Amino acid sequence: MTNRAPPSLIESSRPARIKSYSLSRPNAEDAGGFLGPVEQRIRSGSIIAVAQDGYRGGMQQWRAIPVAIGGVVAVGFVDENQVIVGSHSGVGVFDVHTGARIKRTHDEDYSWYQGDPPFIGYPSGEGVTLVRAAGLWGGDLDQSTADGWTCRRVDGGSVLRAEGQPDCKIEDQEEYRAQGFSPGGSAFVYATSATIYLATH
Amino acid sequence: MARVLNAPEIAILEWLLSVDFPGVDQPRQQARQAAAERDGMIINLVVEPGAPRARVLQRVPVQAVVDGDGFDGGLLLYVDDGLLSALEYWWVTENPPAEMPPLSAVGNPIARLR
Repeated sequence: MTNRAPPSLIESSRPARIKSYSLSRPNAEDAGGFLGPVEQRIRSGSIIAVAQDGYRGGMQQWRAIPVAIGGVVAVGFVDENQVIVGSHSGVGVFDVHTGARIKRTHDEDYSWYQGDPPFIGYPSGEGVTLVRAAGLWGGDLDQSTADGWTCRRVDGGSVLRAEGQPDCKIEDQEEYRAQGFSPGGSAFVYATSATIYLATH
Repeated sequence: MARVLNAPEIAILEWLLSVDFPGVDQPRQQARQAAAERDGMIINLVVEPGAPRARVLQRVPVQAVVDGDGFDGGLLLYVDDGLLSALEYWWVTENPPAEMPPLSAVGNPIARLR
Protein backbone atom coordinates (compact mmCIF):
# COMPACT_ATOMS: atom_id res chain seq x y z
CA MET A 1 0.00 0.00 0.00
CA THR A 2 1.39 3.37 -0.90
CA ASN A 3 0.65 7.03 -0.62
CA ARG A 4 -2.18 6.78 1.81
CA ALA A 5 -3.68 9.77 3.51
CA PRO A 6 -2.62 10.36 7.11
CA PRO A 7 -4.71 8.40 9.63
CA SER A 8 -6.44 11.47 10.94
CA LEU A 9 -7.93 12.17 7.54
CA ILE A 10 -9.13 8.65 7.11
CA GLU A 11 -10.52 8.50 10.58
CA SER A 12 -12.61 11.58 10.05
CA SER A 13 -14.41 9.93 7.16
CA ARG A 14 -15.32 6.77 9.02
CA PRO A 15 -18.69 6.16 10.56
CA ALA A 16 -18.64 5.39 14.23
CA ARG A 17 -18.42 1.70 14.99
CA ILE A 18 -20.49 0.68 17.94
CA LYS A 19 -20.12 -2.48 19.94
CA SER A 20 -22.08 -3.86 22.82
CA TYR A 21 -20.79 -5.87 25.73
CA SER A 22 -22.30 -7.44 28.79
CA LEU A 23 -22.57 -5.31 31.89
CA SER A 24 -21.47 -8.11 34.14
CA ARG A 25 -17.78 -8.33 34.65
CA PRO A 26 -15.47 -8.96 37.56
CA ASN A 27 -13.97 -6.21 39.57
CA ALA A 28 -10.69 -5.92 37.81
CA GLU A 29 -9.14 -3.34 40.07
CA ASP A 30 -5.66 -4.71 40.33
CA ALA A 31 -2.08 -3.74 40.32
CA GLY A 32 -1.52 -4.60 36.71
CA GLY A 33 -0.25 -2.15 34.22
CA PHE A 34 -2.75 0.46 33.27
CA LEU A 35 -3.42 2.24 30.04
CA GLY A 36 -0.75 0.35 28.32
CA PRO A 37 2.65 1.37 27.52
CA VAL A 38 3.73 4.32 29.29
CA GLU A 39 4.01 5.36 32.86
CA GLN A 40 1.26 7.85 33.40
CA ARG A 41 2.89 11.12 34.16
CA ILE A 42 2.16 14.74 34.42
CA ARG A 43 4.38 16.97 32.43
CA SER A 44 4.91 19.85 34.75
CA GLY A 45 5.51 23.23 33.28
CA SER A 46 3.51 22.53 30.16
CA ILE A 47 0.51 24.71 30.77
CA ILE A 48 -1.02 25.31 27.42
CA ALA A 49 -3.83 27.69 28.23
CA VAL A 50 -3.16 30.80 26.24
CA ALA A 51 -4.71 34.14 26.96
CA GLN A 52 -4.65 35.58 23.50
CA ASP A 53 -6.50 38.75 24.35
CA GLY A 54 -4.61 39.60 27.49
CA TYR A 55 -5.78 39.23 31.04
CA ARG A 56 -8.32 41.54 32.57
CA GLY A 57 -10.19 41.53 35.84
CA GLY A 58 -13.11 39.13 35.87
CA MET A 59 -11.63 36.94 33.18
CA GLN A 60 -12.08 33.24 33.53
CA GLN A 61 -8.72 31.73 32.82
CA TRP A 62 -8.64 28.05 32.02
CA ARG A 63 -5.86 26.09 33.59
CA ALA A 64 -4.91 23.08 31.51
CA ILE A 65 -2.54 20.22 32.18
CA PRO A 66 -1.45 17.44 29.83
CA VAL A 67 -1.34 13.92 31.16
CA ALA A 68 0.68 11.49 29.05
CA ILE A 69 -1.03 8.13 28.89
CA GLY A 70 -0.96 6.18 25.63
CA GLY A 71 -3.55 4.00 23.99
CA VAL A 72 -6.49 6.28 24.71
CA VAL A 73 -9.72 5.06 23.14
CA ALA A 74 -12.50 7.05 24.82
CA VAL A 75 -13.02 9.60 27.58
CA GLY A 76 -15.89 10.85 29.73
CA PHE A 77 -16.64 12.71 32.94
CA VAL A 78 -17.59 10.88 36.11
CA ASP A 79 -18.43 14.28 37.61
CA GLU A 80 -16.96 17.79 37.71
CA ASN A 81 -13.81 16.53 39.38
CA GLN A 82 -13.05 13.24 37.71
CA VAL A 83 -12.46 12.19 34.13
CA ILE A 84 -12.56 8.57 33.05
CA VAL A 85 -10.36 7.19 30.30
CA GLY A 86 -10.86 3.92 28.45
CA SER A 87 -7.80 2.54 26.71
CA HIS A 88 -6.61 -0.54 24.91
CA SER A 89 -5.54 -1.95 28.24
CA GLY A 90 -8.08 -0.78 30.78
CA VAL A 91 -9.88 2.08 32.43
CA GLY A 92 -8.57 4.85 34.63
CA VAL A 93 -10.12 7.68 36.56
CA PHE A 94 -8.16 10.91 36.91
CA ASP A 95 -8.50 14.06 38.99
CA VAL A 96 -9.25 16.83 36.52
CA HIS A 97 -7.49 19.42 38.66
CA THR A 98 -4.20 17.63 39.20
CA GLY A 99 -4.11 14.86 36.62
CA ALA A 100 -3.48 12.35 39.39
CA ARG A 101 -4.78 8.87 38.75
CA ILE A 102 -7.47 7.93 41.24
CA LYS A 103 -8.53 4.47 40.07
CA ARG A 104 -7.57 1.95 37.49
CA THR A 105 -8.81 -1.34 36.15
CA HIS A 106 -6.97 -3.69 33.90
CA ASP A 107 -8.98 -4.89 30.91
CA GLU A 108 -7.60 -5.89 27.55
CA ASP A 109 -10.84 -7.21 26.08
CA TYR A 110 -12.59 -3.84 25.96
CA SER A 111 -15.44 -5.00 28.17
CA TRP A 112 -15.44 -1.52 29.66
CA TYR A 113 -16.92 -0.25 26.38
CA GLN A 114 -20.70 -0.31 26.61
CA GLY A 115 -23.55 0.26 24.22
CA ASP A 116 -24.78 2.82 21.82
CA PRO A 117 -24.26 5.71 22.45
CA PRO A 118 -21.08 4.61 24.14
CA PHE A 119 -20.46 4.53 27.84
CA ILE A 120 -17.42 3.57 29.84
CA GLY A 121 -18.25 1.03 32.50
CA TYR A 122 -16.14 0.62 35.59
CA PRO A 123 -16.58 -1.16 38.90
CA SER A 124 -17.80 0.93 41.80
CA GLY A 125 -19.42 0.37 45.15
CA GLU A 126 -22.83 0.22 43.47
CA GLY A 127 -21.80 -2.31 40.84
CA VAL A 128 -20.78 -1.20 37.39
CA THR A 129 -21.06 2.53 36.88
CA LEU A 130 -21.65 3.74 33.32
CA VAL A 131 -20.23 7.06 32.21
CA ARG A 132 -21.15 8.80 28.97
CA ALA A 133 -18.15 8.74 26.70
CA ALA A 134 -16.75 9.76 23.33
CA GLY A 135 -13.77 8.61 21.37
CA LEU A 136 -12.47 6.39 18.65
CA TRP A 137 -15.72 4.49 18.20
CA GLY A 138 -18.19 7.36 18.41
CA GLY A 139 -20.16 9.16 21.08
CA ASP A 140 -20.06 12.76 22.11
CA LEU A 141 -19.51 15.03 25.07
CA ASP A 142 -20.94 18.48 25.68
CA GLN A 143 -19.48 20.97 23.24
CA SER A 144 -20.62 24.07 25.10
CA THR A 145 -21.32 25.23 28.62
CA ALA A 146 -24.18 27.11 30.22
CA ASP A 147 -21.89 30.10 30.83
CA GLY A 148 -21.05 30.50 27.16
CA TRP A 149 -17.90 28.52 26.51
CA THR A 150 -17.60 26.51 23.35
CA CYS A 151 -14.89 24.22 22.06
CA ARG A 152 -13.81 23.97 18.48
CA ARG A 153 -11.35 21.66 16.87
CA VAL A 154 -8.67 23.41 14.89
CA ASP A 155 -5.71 22.13 12.96
CA GLY A 156 -3.57 20.43 15.54
CA GLY A 157 -5.66 20.99 18.61
CA SER A 158 -8.63 22.80 20.06
CA VAL A 159 -9.71 26.27 21.11
CA LEU A 160 -12.03 27.12 23.99
CA ARG A 161 -13.80 30.36 23.40
CA ALA A 162 -16.37 32.58 25.10
CA GLU A 163 -17.45 36.08 24.33
CA GLY A 164 -15.29 38.63 26.11
CA GLN A 165 -12.95 35.98 27.45
CA PRO A 166 -9.41 35.08 26.47
CA ASP A 167 -9.14 31.98 24.32
CA CYS A 168 -7.65 28.82 25.64
CA LYS A 169 -5.74 26.92 22.98
CA ILE A 170 -4.65 23.33 23.27
CA GLU A 171 -2.05 22.23 20.78
CA ASP A 172 -1.39 18.58 20.00
CA GLN A 173 -0.76 16.99 16.63
CA GLU A 174 -1.40 13.41 17.71
CA GLU A 175 -4.32 11.20 16.77
CA TYR A 176 -7.51 12.90 17.92
CA ARG A 177 -9.92 10.93 20.07
CA ALA A 178 -12.46 13.26 21.65
CA GLN A 179 -13.10 16.57 23.34
CA GLY A 180 -15.83 18.05 25.47
CA PHE A 181 -16.94 19.74 28.64
CA SER A 182 -18.08 18.20 31.88
CA PRO A 183 -21.84 18.29 32.46
CA GLY A 184 -21.52 21.29 34.76
CA GLY A 185 -19.14 23.09 32.43
CA SER A 186 -16.32 23.57 34.90
CA ALA A 187 -13.94 21.11 33.25
CA PHE A 188 -12.87 20.22 29.75
CA VAL A 189 -11.00 17.30 28.27
CA TYR A 190 -9.15 17.06 24.97
CA ALA A 191 -7.92 13.57 24.20
CA THR A 192 -5.49 12.22 21.67
CA SER A 193 -4.27 8.66 21.55
CA ALA A 194 -1.20 9.60 23.54
CA THR A 195 -2.33 12.35 25.88
CA ILE A 196 -5.33 13.77 27.68
CA TYR A 197 -5.49 17.48 28.42
CA LEU A 198 -7.50 18.39 31.47
CA ALA A 199 -8.67 21.98 31.73
CA THR A 200 -10.55 23.61 34.56
CA HIS A 201 -11.67 27.10 35.44
CA MET B 1 7.32 -9.98 33.00
CA ALA B 2 9.15 -9.11 29.82
CA ARG B 3 8.80 -11.43 26.86
CA VAL B 4 10.35 -11.76 23.46
CA LEU B 5 8.64 -9.82 20.72
CA ASN B 6 6.71 -12.09 18.40
CA ALA B 7 7.20 -12.12 14.64
CA PRO B 8 4.39 -9.71 13.72
CA GLU B 9 5.52 -7.25 16.38
CA ILE B 10 9.12 -7.39 15.14
CA ALA B 11 7.98 -6.92 11.56
CA ILE B 12 5.88 -3.91 12.46
CA LEU B 13 8.63 -2.36 14.52
CA GLU B 14 11.16 -2.75 11.75
CA TRP B 15 8.71 -1.40 9.20
CA LEU B 16 7.89 1.69 11.23
CA LEU B 17 11.57 2.36 11.84
CA SER B 18 12.48 1.89 8.20
CA VAL B 19 11.55 5.48 7.49
CA ASP B 20 13.87 8.31 8.40
CA PHE B 21 12.94 10.90 11.00
CA PRO B 22 14.97 13.02 13.41
CA GLY B 23 16.45 10.81 16.09
CA VAL B 24 15.66 7.53 14.36
CA ASP B 25 19.12 5.98 14.76
CA GLN B 26 18.78 5.28 18.47
CA PRO B 27 15.32 3.64 18.26
CA ARG B 28 16.65 1.44 15.47
CA GLN B 29 19.44 0.30 17.75
CA GLN B 30 17.08 -0.12 20.69
CA ALA B 31 14.67 -2.20 18.62
CA ARG B 32 17.28 -4.88 18.02
CA GLN B 33 17.20 -5.87 21.66
CA ALA B 34 13.74 -4.70 22.67
CA ALA B 35 11.45 -6.93 24.68
CA ALA B 36 7.74 -6.63 25.33
CA GLU B 37 5.50 -6.46 28.33
CA ARG B 38 1.82 -7.31 28.08
CA ASP B 39 -0.15 -8.64 25.16
CA GLY B 40 -3.01 -7.04 23.33
CA MET B 41 -3.29 -4.09 21.05
CA ILE B 42 -0.86 -1.98 22.98
CA ILE B 43 2.37 -3.43 24.26
CA ASN B 44 5.08 -1.95 26.38
CA LEU B 45 8.46 -1.97 24.73
CA VAL B 46 11.29 -2.63 27.13
CA VAL B 47 14.79 -1.58 26.21
CA GLU B 48 18.01 -1.37 28.16
CA PRO B 49 17.76 1.79 30.28
CA GLY B 50 21.35 2.63 29.50
CA ALA B 51 20.82 2.51 25.76
CA PRO B 52 21.63 5.67 23.81
CA ARG B 53 18.62 7.94 23.95
CA ALA B 54 16.92 9.44 20.96
CA ARG B 55 15.96 13.06 20.56
CA VAL B 56 12.71 12.74 18.65
CA LEU B 57 10.43 15.64 17.87
CA GLN B 58 7.22 14.06 19.06
CA ARG B 59 6.26 11.36 21.51
CA VAL B 60 4.83 9.44 18.57
CA PRO B 61 7.49 10.07 15.92
CA VAL B 62 6.10 7.61 13.40
CA GLN B 63 2.79 5.95 12.64
CA ALA B 64 1.08 4.05 9.84
CA VAL B 65 -2.39 3.44 8.49
CA VAL B 66 -3.74 -0.10 8.72
CA ASP B 67 -6.30 -1.15 6.15
CA GLY B 68 -6.73 -4.60 4.65
CA ASP B 69 -6.95 -8.30 5.42
CA GLY B 70 -9.76 -7.57 7.85
CA PHE B 71 -7.74 -5.00 9.76
CA ASP B 72 -8.66 -1.33 9.94
CA GLY B 73 -7.02 1.35 12.04
CA GLY B 74 -3.50 2.55 12.64
CA LEU B 75 -0.20 1.87 14.31
CA LEU B 76 1.55 4.27 16.67
CA LEU B 77 5.08 3.95 17.97
CA TYR B 78 5.86 5.70 21.24
CA VAL B 79 9.21 7.05 22.40
CA ASP B 80 9.47 8.31 25.97
CA ASP B 81 12.57 9.85 27.45
CA GLY B 82 14.45 8.84 24.34
CA LEU B 83 13.61 5.16 24.60
CA LEU B 84 11.12 3.04 22.70
CA SER B 85 8.19 2.68 25.07
CA ALA B 86 5.15 1.25 23.31
CA LEU B 87 3.54 0.00 20.14
CA GLU B 88 -0.17 0.60 19.72
CA TYR B 89 -2.65 -0.72 17.18
CA TRP B 90 -5.82 1.35 17.29
CA TRP B 91 -8.66 -0.28 15.44
CA VAL B 92 -12.16 0.46 14.24
CA THR B 93 -13.38 -2.91 13.08
CA GLU B 94 -16.65 -4.28 14.36
CA ASN B 95 -14.93 -6.88 16.51
CA PRO B 96 -11.73 -6.51 18.49
CA PRO B 97 -8.69 -7.90 16.68
CA ALA B 98 -6.98 -10.93 18.12
CA GLU B 99 -3.52 -9.98 16.99
CA MET B 100 -1.43 -7.21 15.55
CA PRO B 101 -2.02 -6.64 11.84
CA PRO B 102 0.18 -8.29 9.23
CA LEU B 103 2.50 -6.09 7.22
CA SER B 104 0.33 -6.68 4.18
CA ALA B 105 -2.30 -4.49 5.83
CA VAL B 106 0.07 -1.77 6.97
CA GLY B 107 0.65 1.34 4.90
CA ASN B 108 3.85 3.27 4.54
CA PRO B 109 5.23 4.72 7.76
CA ILE B 110 4.36 8.38 8.29
CA ALA B 111 7.12 10.13 10.19
CA ARG B 112 6.99 13.37 12.11
CA LEU B 113 9.55 15.60 10.51
CA ARG B 114 8.81 18.77 12.46
